[in-house]
Amino acid sequence: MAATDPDDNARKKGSAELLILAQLEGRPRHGYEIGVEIERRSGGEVSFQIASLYPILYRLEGKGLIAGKWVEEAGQRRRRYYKLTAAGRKTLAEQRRRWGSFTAALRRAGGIENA
Amino acid sequence: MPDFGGYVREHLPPLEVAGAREAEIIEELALELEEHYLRELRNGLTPDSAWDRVTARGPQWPELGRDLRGALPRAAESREKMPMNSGNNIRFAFRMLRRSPAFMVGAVLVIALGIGPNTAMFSAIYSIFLAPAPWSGKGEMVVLWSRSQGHGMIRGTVDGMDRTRVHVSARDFEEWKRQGKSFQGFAAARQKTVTLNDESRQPERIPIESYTPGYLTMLGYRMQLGRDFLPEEGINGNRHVAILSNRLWRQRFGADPHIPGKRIRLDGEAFSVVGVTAPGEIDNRVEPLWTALTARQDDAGQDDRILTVLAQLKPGVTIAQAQAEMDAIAGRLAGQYPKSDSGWAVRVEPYRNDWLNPRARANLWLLMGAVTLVLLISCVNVANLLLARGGAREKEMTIRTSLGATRGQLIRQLLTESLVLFALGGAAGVAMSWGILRTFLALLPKYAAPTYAPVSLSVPALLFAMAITLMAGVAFGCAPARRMSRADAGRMRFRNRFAKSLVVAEFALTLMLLAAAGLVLRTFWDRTHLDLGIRTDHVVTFEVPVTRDRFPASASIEPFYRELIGRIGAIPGVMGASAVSVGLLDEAGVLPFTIVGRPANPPQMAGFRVATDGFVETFGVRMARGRAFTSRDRPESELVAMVNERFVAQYLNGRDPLVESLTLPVQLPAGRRRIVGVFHDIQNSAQIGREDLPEVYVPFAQVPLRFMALAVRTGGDPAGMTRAIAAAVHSVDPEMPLANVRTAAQIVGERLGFDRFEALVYGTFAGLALVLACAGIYGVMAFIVSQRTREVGVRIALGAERWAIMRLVLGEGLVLAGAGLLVGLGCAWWVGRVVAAALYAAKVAGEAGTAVVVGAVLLGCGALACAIPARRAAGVDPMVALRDE
Repeated sequence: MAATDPDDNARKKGSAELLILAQLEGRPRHGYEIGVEIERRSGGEVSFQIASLYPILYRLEGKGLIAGKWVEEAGQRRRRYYKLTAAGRKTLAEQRRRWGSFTAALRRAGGIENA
Repeated sequence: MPDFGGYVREHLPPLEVAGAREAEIIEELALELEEHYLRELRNGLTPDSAWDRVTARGPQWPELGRDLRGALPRAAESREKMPMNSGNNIRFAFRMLRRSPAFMVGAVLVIALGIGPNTAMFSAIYSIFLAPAPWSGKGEMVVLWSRSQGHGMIRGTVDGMDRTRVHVSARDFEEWKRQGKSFQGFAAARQKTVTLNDESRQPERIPIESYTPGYLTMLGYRMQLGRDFLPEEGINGNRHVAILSNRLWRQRFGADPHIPGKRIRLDGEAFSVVGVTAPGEIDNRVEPLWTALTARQDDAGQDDRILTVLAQLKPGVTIAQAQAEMDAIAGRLAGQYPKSDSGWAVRVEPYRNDWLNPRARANLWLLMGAVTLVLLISCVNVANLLLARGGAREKEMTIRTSLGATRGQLIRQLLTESLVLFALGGAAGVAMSWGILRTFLALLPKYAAPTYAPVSLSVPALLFAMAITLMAGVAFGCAPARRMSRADAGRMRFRNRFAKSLVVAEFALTLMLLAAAGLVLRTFWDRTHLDLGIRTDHVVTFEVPVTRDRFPASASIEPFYRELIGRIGAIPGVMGASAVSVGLLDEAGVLPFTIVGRPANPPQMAGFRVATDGFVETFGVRMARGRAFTSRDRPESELVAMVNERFVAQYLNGRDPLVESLTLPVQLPAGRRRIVGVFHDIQNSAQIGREDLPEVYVPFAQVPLRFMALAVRTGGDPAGMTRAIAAAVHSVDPEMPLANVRTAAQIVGERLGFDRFEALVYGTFAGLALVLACAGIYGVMAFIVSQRTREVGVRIALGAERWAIMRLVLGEGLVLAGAGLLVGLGCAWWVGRVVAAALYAAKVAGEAGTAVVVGAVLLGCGALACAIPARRAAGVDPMVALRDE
């Protein structure tokens, strides 16, 4: 995986917020689950390490887009679950729209479809 | 399972957020690593290689730390984001206070001692000056007085009472009512004392008020039973109706619901009761019974000034406008009736607080000032307590600062704590104010409470309490909070200096209060030791409630009293008995007189009394010149009079009084009355300490009046003689009860009631201030000593004497107290002048002496308060003190 490729890093960082928010759309998830889910849905193409995931999670929480809450399940260690706030939902829709038009433009202008 | 938490904690750099948040983040990161570890185990790795894998793929810790710091909201930012943090602050404040209950109780008590008296005083002032009266909004209520413009003795003010204010004649009242356009209603009233008689109970002498119909309704009083007087009951012939106050109805008539229509007898005449007033402030009035006032009075002429006139202005008319109109009317009347009305003006004054003499009014404001000082002192104490506690919490502040709390956050937290403290103290203070109000109202001399609004805790008073609590909390919580949150090295020294300056301020404030209280107490003392001109020991006085029909002919009056006095005088143990027309120390009615051979105009006035011949002996009156009355002063012998020294000084311009003669008004036997004696002034006034009035006494045998107050001088306890005296009275008239039996000492005590109350209130507040100031200086010195235990230990180890250590501490405390005294001296001098001017309208004797005494008291108490920490310092064990560090 080209995790050390600087271009790839920048691309991932730009899209990271969208990716994380998107994982929380259906239900609240804890940090590890978010990482696993992104990896699964992207078919292993995108994966987040601790170092990249948590700073973004806390930043999103600081902005009030997601809200973390400790949840204790019977017989298990407590975990911090994050859920989408109303503001987060709005931001997610907004980013989807932006990224949608961007990737469409990329496809057309970059000739990706023909590759 | 390996300890990932410990692993993360070991590697992650500090995040510069609150400790609890950091722990959460560590926990969350550890959980993440744990999941990775478990996944590797599931993939078939051994625990050791799974651990190696996870730690090898783990993050670059310094970078992660940096990224997390960048992502997490800083402490300062979080405040911006969460302005509604105060709920947490308050909860935290309660936790902190619960942790040191002694501090909390002490501080709350001190605050309550400041807020309580303030709320109580404000309640009183609000009720008296500001609270809406029953007539509010419908037009101002005013009293109209005749005002003498230079008639002999009626001039100037005494104890703040305007003596130029005189009652109104019936003629003037009728004219004012007819001509006045500024008014929507007029009423007149007349006060007198009558004998109340009904079948069931013993007769008693009571003050009553007669008024023109409409008076009670105009003042907003309501009836519980029956009705107010009807207009036709203000006309001659229909006036035999009475209204009972609720108080009298309950006390004397057992709250009889069928009282309307029943008959009572006043001075022997039958009156039917038409109504009973509703309970309330009306029961604070002196008179418990009212009768209808008719235009023409049996015992007074059209020009006698006997009426109190009350009027309600039309809405929108000001007192100044009414005054201008009345000035014009008075001018016209003076032209129309020169004999009676020339030289008389009219004064229009607000009715509200008319019962309140200027001295009582001044007292209210002065006491408000006094309790403000008490509040300041108590707040200073609380500030000191907070500071001292700051010492104990220094470590906590340091820890919180190092955990990322900003100075602003600390200040906010500390301020919240002090506000919570003040809120608790304020609540306790309000409870205390309720108690203070109840106590003061109970101790207030009779009938001194307002008659139109209840004195009680009201909504405005509670708002006031909240406002001052909040202000005090912010003002006195801020400074200690700022000091405590300061993180520099010189904090301790600075705080001590601040605490010391607070003590100086406290002593200065206390000195001001003590100066005022000292003056009041001193005056009270002087008045209790004043030469009254009579001896009040071993004298009992009483009245016999004779009714008008008791003496069908005036010729029977004198023999009745002569017989009575003779029988009483014959009782073993009685040294003498006499009768005077006016009760002991009561102010006599004022009558005009002329000195034979001097111009009759303007008429001169003097207090007028009738006395039997034993009067001088019974009361121990001292004769200055000439002789007292004797049994030889008979109707048929030469008409004579006695005057007091004040009379001689005011009217005789140094001439020999014993060659002068007087003529007195028409109701008395006409003719010249020769002055045969001059006696030393007697304090016959409503207020002891007032300047004496000119007085004329005439012999009872020459002017027999129906109602006489009797006095008996006894050899033993005067109160114990009552039974024997009653038996003597019954031997003359088996039906006749004794009314109003009091010893002379009791009367003097009642007369000083207001002074006593004044002394008590000022004394209480000043005592409170003194205790608070001493607690303050004790607290600061104890704190300083505790800080310097080590230094003291070193000194003692190096050979310092114990007494030298004591002197050191005591000296330091006394320097503070002395500085406060110096600062307060100027203010105290000023306060003394204000109090003397406001309360006694004069310079008070012994001001300097009083100042020295209160200064010494303050310094002495300060020294006592410092002696405890000084002793503790001297008792320091050098070994313990040195090992301590």
